[in-house]
Amino acid sequence: MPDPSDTGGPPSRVPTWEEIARDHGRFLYSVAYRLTGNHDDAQDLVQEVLLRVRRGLATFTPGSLEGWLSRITTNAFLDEVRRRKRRPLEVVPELPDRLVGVDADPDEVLDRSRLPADVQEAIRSLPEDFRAAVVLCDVVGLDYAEIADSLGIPPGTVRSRIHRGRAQLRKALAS
Amino acid sequence: MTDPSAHLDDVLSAYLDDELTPAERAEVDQHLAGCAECRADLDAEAEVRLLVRELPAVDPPFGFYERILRDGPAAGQAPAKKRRLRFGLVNIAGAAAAWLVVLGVVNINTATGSVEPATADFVDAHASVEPELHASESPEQAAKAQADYRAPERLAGTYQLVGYVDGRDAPQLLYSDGRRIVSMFLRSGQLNQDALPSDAEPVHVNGALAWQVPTSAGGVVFLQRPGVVVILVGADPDRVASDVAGPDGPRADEHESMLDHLSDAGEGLLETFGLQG
Repeated sequence: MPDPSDTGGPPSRVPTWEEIARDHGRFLYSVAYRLTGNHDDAQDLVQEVLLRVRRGLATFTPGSLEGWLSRITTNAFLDEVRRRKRRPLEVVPELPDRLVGVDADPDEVLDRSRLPADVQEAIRSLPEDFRAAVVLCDVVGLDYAEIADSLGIPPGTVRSRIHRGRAQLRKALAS
Repeated sequence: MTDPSAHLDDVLSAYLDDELTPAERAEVDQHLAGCAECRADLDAEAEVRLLVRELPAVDPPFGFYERILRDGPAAGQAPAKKRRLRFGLVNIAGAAAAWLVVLGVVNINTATGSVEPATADFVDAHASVEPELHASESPEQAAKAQADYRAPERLAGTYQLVGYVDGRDAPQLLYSDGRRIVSMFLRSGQLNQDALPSDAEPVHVNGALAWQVPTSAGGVVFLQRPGVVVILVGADPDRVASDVAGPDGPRADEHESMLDHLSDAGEGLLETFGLQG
């Protein structure tokens, strides 16, 4: 019998969208921003997540509240990506010049002074499937089993997407 | 990992993320001991992993959640074009402008220069002081700012003066609520609105026009007051909004010493800057 006062455990009930906006808004926005790479899309994504919670579309799954929220956010993000691919929209890069044309040797050392904006732009350059895996792993802190569950893919695929995602980040960030 | 001569590739990710069994881990350790290429790969992946893990949390634009909580979430809606600014920043901006005028730093009749909305410069200046201040609050700096500039010790109830940086024409004053830093820059003159970036959003603050410019570091606010432009960078919207929305939120009468100065300068100023209790 788990201790209900254990804050690391699952919440006893599904929180309302208002509670999420009030108590977990910053976390939710951060995940949305890391996935989308710009404030306009992050705001749309956050609203979509809150709508899904309000409509009861987001089935609660065991695990941490943040894990649950990240799963909804990532799925909403990937749904939107698929929707846009069916009806392509013009995507305007927010920081167009910094990393365009990078053709670095992956063995080159990383510049340790990289700004968060550079790292964010490198994340945004990843294919969405890799990006989702890397964000869930390194921004949210989920383990591979939770990521596999969130994305509906086998654990081996999680491992490979994280590895390939990080390899592409290295390439984008190599000085 | 059945072939000991093969390179580890994505096994390295699982190794870094502690996703291997002890037996698998031991195998990897053994391979690493004899394979410089995989060791280099491991180091490089560990480094990029750390860069992502160290990314800071991202704040939504000012008033984002307040608006959603008021109106409900709406799918695919563009952010509203006009918003009311958060009360916390309203008070800071209003207090700062009044303070400058009272001290005679700005002559509202002669300050006609143009103030360029150099958003990146303000963001950079803010970012350059933030880590230091977080490392150690600076009571000496704060005392000096108070002595040299007679800067208000506290703004909007929550933000305590912690230091300043000498600027070209006016200081950058640094306020902290114990967790986040707000930088306040003051420039005499009129904001050059034509030079604002295209994503600048007009907001109304007690009838005064302000512009909010989103950046990757959060929002930057340019507030035009008579003769002075107040630029604010780096507040924490969630915390400030909840602080100032409650019954214990800041009130103008918390700025007692400043109101005294204002009274000396003439009752009319009180009304001008909306600082009446």
